[in-house]
Amino acid sequence: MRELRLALGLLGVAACVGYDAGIELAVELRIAPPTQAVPMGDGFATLSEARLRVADVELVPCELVSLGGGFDAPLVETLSFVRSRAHAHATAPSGDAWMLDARHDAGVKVGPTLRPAPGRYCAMRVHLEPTDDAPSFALVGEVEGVPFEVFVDAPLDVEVPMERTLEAPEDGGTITLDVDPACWLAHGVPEGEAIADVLAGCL
Amino acid sequence: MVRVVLALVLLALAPSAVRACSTCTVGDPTLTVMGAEQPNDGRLRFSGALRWRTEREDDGTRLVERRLELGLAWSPVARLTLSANVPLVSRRARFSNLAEERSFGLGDVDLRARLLLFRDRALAPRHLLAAVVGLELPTALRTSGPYEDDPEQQPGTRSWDPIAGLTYGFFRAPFSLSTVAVVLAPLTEGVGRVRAGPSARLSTRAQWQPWEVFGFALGVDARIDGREHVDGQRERASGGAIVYGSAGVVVAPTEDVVIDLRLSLPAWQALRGGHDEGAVIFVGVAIDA
Repeated sequence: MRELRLALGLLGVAACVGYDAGIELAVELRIAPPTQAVPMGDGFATLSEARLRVADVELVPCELVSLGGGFDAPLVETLSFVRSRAHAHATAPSGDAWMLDARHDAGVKVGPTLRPAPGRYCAMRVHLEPTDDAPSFALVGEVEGVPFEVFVDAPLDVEVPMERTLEAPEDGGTITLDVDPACWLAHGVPEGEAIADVLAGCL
Repeated sequence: MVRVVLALVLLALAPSAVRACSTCTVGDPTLTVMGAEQPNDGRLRFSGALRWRTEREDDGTRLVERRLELGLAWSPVARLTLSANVPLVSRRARFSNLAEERSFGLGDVDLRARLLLFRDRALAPRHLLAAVVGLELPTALRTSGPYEDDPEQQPGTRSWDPIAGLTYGFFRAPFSLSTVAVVLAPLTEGVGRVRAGPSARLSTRAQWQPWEVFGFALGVDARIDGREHVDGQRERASGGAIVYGSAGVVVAPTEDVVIDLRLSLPAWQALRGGHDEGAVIFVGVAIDA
């Protein structure tokens, strides 16, 4: 038995691993300094809650963007079989989602690292997903004494326009997403389907 | 000239009445590959096999794996054969983002015991039925890097996997048939807190040996894998089934050496999780001590 252990130990010592990184895009989540009052129209809104929960991030190839300028979901689903997307290579270092609380947190959080295939990408899809304890998106406060409350309890995809050509490992780098409640409220309290558009313009 | 060469080849391959061989100790001239040998008291066999395979994933990952499997089989008594298989695994994975990972090291070591249940006669048996029990040990190298928690990118599962099954051998020179059917049921979680599903594996090989030192073989290898559990949750995109068809030759350059050359191609596959397995090239040598 001792000889067997010794032999296995020697084989273990002989092990070696090499890794050459390919195209990598690190995502940073930059949260604006916390403030209770944010500009809104001619006045200010007072915030009691401003949170979003990022579950995943992926890049969308330009050929999957519809001619109308938006994103054609059925087309994305169809073409995803013939071309891999960056999604498969998104990795979350902690294995968890990113809970971003703009009322209390500030600074830069390390997000996922994307490992996309070479290509031209025209959007970043940020997938917000709720849990039992936290909504996908929450914005609660009041404007001139009138309270408002926005909760999104369903998964929400936010398509952030961007253009990036990635052909070689040196084309990778860092991309920053901004979490700024002042931007979310710049044109009033977002509601319904406008929430994804407002977040897309602000992230 | 062609006739002369043909005559020399046939002469070289012709049976020799006086030639001694390890197969004679069991009263049967069949050249058996590793794992299909007929047991006799004190039989000791060493083997080395090189297995080359490819795999392609839907996300663009390409894998080339070369396994050197060092084996030992010993029968302390005719009814029992103990074996160990130590794989050394060399892998090169190219990912869709142009990353490349190379690794070389120990895979999961496999220990087995084969107990003879039925033999129709002691000398030159035609039917052999045996039970197999074994254990795959979590000895595989674990690569570090972005894919360290992805079992697909590791040379072994690193889990404790008990094995149980049956083997059957039929010998009627110049024909023989060997079948191994085993179930492997992982007991513990392995790489990335993944507990692989149970796996049923069937390997059948039919051999025609027109000459003492040379034979042809056709085979079927099938595998059905259950779904994995990750952190206790059932993973839908895992498991599936695959069937390989194989063809090869078996050669005995000397009396105690058997060389097994095989090419296996996937004939049908329904593996979940977006990956396709490719051809397998196998070169094995078994040496009777």
